[in-house]
Amino acid sequence: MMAWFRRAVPDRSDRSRPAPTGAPGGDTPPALHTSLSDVVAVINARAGHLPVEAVVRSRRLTDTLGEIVDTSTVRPLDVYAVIAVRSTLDDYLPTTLQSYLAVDPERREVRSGSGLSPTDSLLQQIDILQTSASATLLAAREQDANALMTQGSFLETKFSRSDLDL
Amino acid sequence: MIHHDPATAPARTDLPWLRHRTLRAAPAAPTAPTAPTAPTAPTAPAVVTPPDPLAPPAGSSLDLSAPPTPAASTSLDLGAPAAPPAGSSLDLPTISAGSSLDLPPLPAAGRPAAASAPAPGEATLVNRPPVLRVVSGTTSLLTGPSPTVTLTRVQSGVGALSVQAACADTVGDVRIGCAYELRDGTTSLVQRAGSLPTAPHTGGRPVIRAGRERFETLTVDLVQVRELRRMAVYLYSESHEPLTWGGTATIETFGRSRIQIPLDRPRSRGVLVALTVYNVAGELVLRNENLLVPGSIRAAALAFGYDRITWVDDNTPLT
Amino acid sequence: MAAPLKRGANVALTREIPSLTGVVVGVLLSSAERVLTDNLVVATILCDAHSRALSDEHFVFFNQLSPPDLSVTRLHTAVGHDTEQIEVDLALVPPEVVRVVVVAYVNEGVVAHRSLGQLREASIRVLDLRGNAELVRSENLAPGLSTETGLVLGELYRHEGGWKFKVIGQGYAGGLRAMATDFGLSL
Repeated sequence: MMAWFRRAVPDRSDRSRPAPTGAPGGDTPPALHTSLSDVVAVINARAGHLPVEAVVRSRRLTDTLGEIVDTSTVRPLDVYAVIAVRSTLDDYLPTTLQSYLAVDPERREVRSGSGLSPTDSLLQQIDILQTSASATLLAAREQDANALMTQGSFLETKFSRSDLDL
Repeated sequence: MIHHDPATAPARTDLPWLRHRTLRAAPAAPTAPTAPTAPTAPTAPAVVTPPDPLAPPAGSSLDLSAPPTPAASTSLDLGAPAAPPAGSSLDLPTISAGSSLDLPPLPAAGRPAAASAPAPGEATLVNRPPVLRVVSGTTSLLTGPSPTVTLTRVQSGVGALSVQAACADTVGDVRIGCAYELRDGTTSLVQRAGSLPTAPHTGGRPVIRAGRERFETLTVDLVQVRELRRMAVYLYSESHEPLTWGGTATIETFGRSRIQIPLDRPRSRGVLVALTVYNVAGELVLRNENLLVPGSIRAAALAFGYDRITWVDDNTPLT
Repeated sequence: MAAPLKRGANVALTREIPSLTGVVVGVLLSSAERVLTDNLVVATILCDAHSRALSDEHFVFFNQLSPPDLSVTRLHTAVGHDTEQIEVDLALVPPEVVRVVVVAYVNEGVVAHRSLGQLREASIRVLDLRGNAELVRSENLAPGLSTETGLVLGELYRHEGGWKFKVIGQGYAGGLRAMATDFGLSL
């Protein structure tokens, strides 16, 4: 059930774990909705430890991901749309939230040299995911394959840097 | 409890020439906007229940007691421009100050316009979905496709917000209650049943109170809205029997906007979390949750992160 | 000190004191009724020339306001007996803001049967932002009130390139809802 928290598993060298797109449950719309419900459940269950604004923005993001999946009622989901939803649900959003929760609560409002506190950074990262999800939704509705591919590689570049790993 | 301390008001940066001064503020708890300290845990509750299946497993990677790893702070503490984020400014669309991630630029052709990484100091428009508002005197329906509505700071701060369960007798012995967390970290339940009529339980000025008009009602005193961090409204059967769900949860503002949440679902046992309310910088964000939690009120509270409530049994908080 | 200003009276602030750069508008509301004072709200409505709020965000009250840049100690000295004060940097007021109207109301919805007639004192005064010297003070507006739950205390407004202050003292039986209608605010 917690497979999408794989990055939090200490043994990062374990490459035998399935890639996001091959995560348990598969890439059918019902499977994506199941993953979505799981992530929503975790956001809600951790709501007491996240800034209220992060809870609200994360739920807005999951709304948008649900809308992307729901475009499948009109036409089949593009593979890049699936990748964008899968990777956000399995990895980028949980990892972002979990990284924040791992920060000592005393330090969450403390600004670093960059001028941003961990809370500021958390909200920014959710915003980045939201911006990309909104673009993906638009592209999925307009059947814009190029834009879909772009969003996939954009997120991958943003969120696959080693410094996001725990 | 007095509430008008400008130092804790939702700040605004657009009116630097107009500032409020007052001494009406109580000697409030130190401001800890996002991480209220957990209340001291009282002695163990009389009844200990097994962990809830919906709660994250103990000792999981989310365990807060784990020491922060240096990598974690690095990932959230990136070389971003010094401008503060605009999250607390008035309304959307919000300008975000730069990217939090110091990523190498993507090839120009591959850069999506809406999400391109800005140069340091350059502002980017965050592409958020539109925020739905309510209009005075009108009725809105919160349903699957549009589950949330956001009250303005005026709507969130005048009069009272009432939430009632408009259910026919055929539904069964349906009762309404809510889990809540106040700004100072106080957290518990409010419901008419079980002698939990107010939030907080003590003091003469409840922020939330349970009552009954035509139907059971929760009322939030919005002159104290700044004390409210969040709440989750649930419906349940007092006798723990299955309910034949139907009717409508109705939220009403001082401006006589009605926000309705249909309660139709198959006959079932459990606790239906119908609505959550989050206070985001003075704006109350309402969401139709429509989540039936099989089990107790405690399970429903845990599913929405009310994990600092201490319990006598699965349906009764200790406080 | 000059005699208190009566309802409807005005004074040309910047003509009287050409060096005036900012003012503090102080509001004093007092009552023996704790339930009333707990539910009294002072708000500032930033209006156009026709006394209409520029937007809902121009209704400045406890849920959307800016804190002063004062230490707690200085705040205690500065506020004195006033219930609430509003600092205004006159030179920095944007041109679209023509009137700065100060109101008070009883927040309704939870408590019933409270009205401004239970006030012992309701007055408004203007201080110099530099040094907090009192420039002008209204008469006590409370004796004119009975069942009202809303009150427009007074306003700062632009006049011939400068700023004037006027004591209004108009009660609203319909409270905040009626005031919102008059000022064009959405509730």
